[in-house]
Amino acid sequence: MMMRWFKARMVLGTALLRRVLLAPVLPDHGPKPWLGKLANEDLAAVPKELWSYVGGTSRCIGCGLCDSVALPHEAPSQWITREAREPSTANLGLERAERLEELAREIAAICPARVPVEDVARLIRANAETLAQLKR
Amino acid sequence: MFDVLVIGGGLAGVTAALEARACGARVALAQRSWGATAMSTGALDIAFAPGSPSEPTVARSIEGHIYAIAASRARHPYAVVGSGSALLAIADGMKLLSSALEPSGLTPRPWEAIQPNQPYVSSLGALVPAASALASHGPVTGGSVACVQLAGDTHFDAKHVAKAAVHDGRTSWGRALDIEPVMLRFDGSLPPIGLAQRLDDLGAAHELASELKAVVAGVSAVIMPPVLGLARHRETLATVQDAVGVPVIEALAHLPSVPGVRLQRALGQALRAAGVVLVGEVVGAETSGERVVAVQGKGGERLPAKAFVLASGRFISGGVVFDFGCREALFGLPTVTELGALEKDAPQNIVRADPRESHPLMTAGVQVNASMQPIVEGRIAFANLFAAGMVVGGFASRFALCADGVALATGVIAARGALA
Repeated sequence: MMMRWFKARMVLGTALLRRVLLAPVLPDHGPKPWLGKLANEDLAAVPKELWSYVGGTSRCIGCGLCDSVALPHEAPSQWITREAREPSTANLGLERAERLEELAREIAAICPARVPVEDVARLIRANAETLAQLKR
Repeated sequence: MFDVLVIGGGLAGVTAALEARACGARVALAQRSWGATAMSTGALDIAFAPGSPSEPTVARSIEGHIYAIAASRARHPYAVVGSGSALLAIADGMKLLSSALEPSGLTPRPWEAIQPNQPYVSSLGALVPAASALASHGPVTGGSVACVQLAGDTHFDAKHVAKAAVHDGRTSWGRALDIEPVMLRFDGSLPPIGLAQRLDDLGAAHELASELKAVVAGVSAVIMPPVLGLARHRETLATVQDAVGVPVIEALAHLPSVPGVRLQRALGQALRAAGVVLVGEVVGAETSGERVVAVQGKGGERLPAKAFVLASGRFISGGVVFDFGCREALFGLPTVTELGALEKDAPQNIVRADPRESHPLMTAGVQVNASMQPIVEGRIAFANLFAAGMVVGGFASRFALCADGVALATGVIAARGALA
């Protein structure tokens, strides 16, 4: 136990000394250059429309009330929280997007969180389209 | 012109509307969509306050719990109206609720039989204290009980529920319970509401009942996942119960909640049967001096009334919004939380990291006086506006297990105030 305590303080003390004594002469490999590299990557801005979709789907509180307006084997609550966020399987969700559009009015009347179901369906379609383009 | 216009169609709003209607008033109810009532577990939570070694919690009467809550939480409605008044109003509310739910077969145990909290099995695996529950739920008191697992049902784990309930019975309730999981081949792989809709078909209910009958011989009760029918729950439950010959108890639900949807539908039917006029969503209010004159419907229609009951719920139900500060959504009334007023730029005051504490934002609602009139800076906001249910802020129902008791008590008091 004493040895571990002593070793830990040795490591910390050495690191502190190196930092204080060698900082003026050694190049800084800390977070600053790394962040700089990230800035140079020129990442594309997130389109405004996507944020509005995210805002809408994130509103879902998972209460499952929308399941009560669907058929027994359907679970629109799961489609809303899952399908719209999984672009890699979006083509499988196309059928569900269509069904969500059909149910949109009934779900709107019942949803306590006012999730914009038609927007969710559109997002599933958009994801599917992007996926299809990538596959080409 | 209505005598009373209730804003919100949850348990509190419906109680207020039915109470006002019972007094002969012309009543309208505005509802945007289903709210927290449709997420009910099936239990009726009246009051629960932690006990002490000298007075164990499980032995305390409901009155004792109400007094304890009122004594320890100054902003709680039980404290604001006085525990005696709260108790009387809850009793009246329970009678209203019982007769309203009678046609749908959801009638809870009568108020006189509620002494003290009893252990109800939850789908998540615990024995939850509750004063009462909708008809299909019941407390686990003893004997040999079978806990049923349907094939492929991922929302209910009978092995876990049985194990946790036995553990809870021993450690929290001082009862040695005998609960064993029983596996059925009946297909339960649908989502809960879908499964309940499938069991509305009495053919499927008979199929479940005959399979159940073959495997649960000799037990004194059967615990089922809460999926025994949605629109035809009464018939489905009776079919299964008649076949098995012992009480069939549905576990309390988690989300999505079949009992919650049943309750919300039954309340809607009760409103129509009582002659309450249902109007859609309201989006604005017209005030004149110290009175509310009318509210504005979503389609632009003007809905005047002599008095208004605000039962629009809290943040989850949309009755409270958090944008430029935290405020009540329709009249812009200031809110109060367990920690006082919320500051927008201080997230630690909105959500707290410790799960044992309540999130202040979830306790935000209007402050009221003993007549359930919202007050602003110590003055009554509007002479003819009353609040009921969770839109009343400053306390966490999650810890006092009192949401239904508060809805019933404040609904009754608000309606009487509106008609005074």
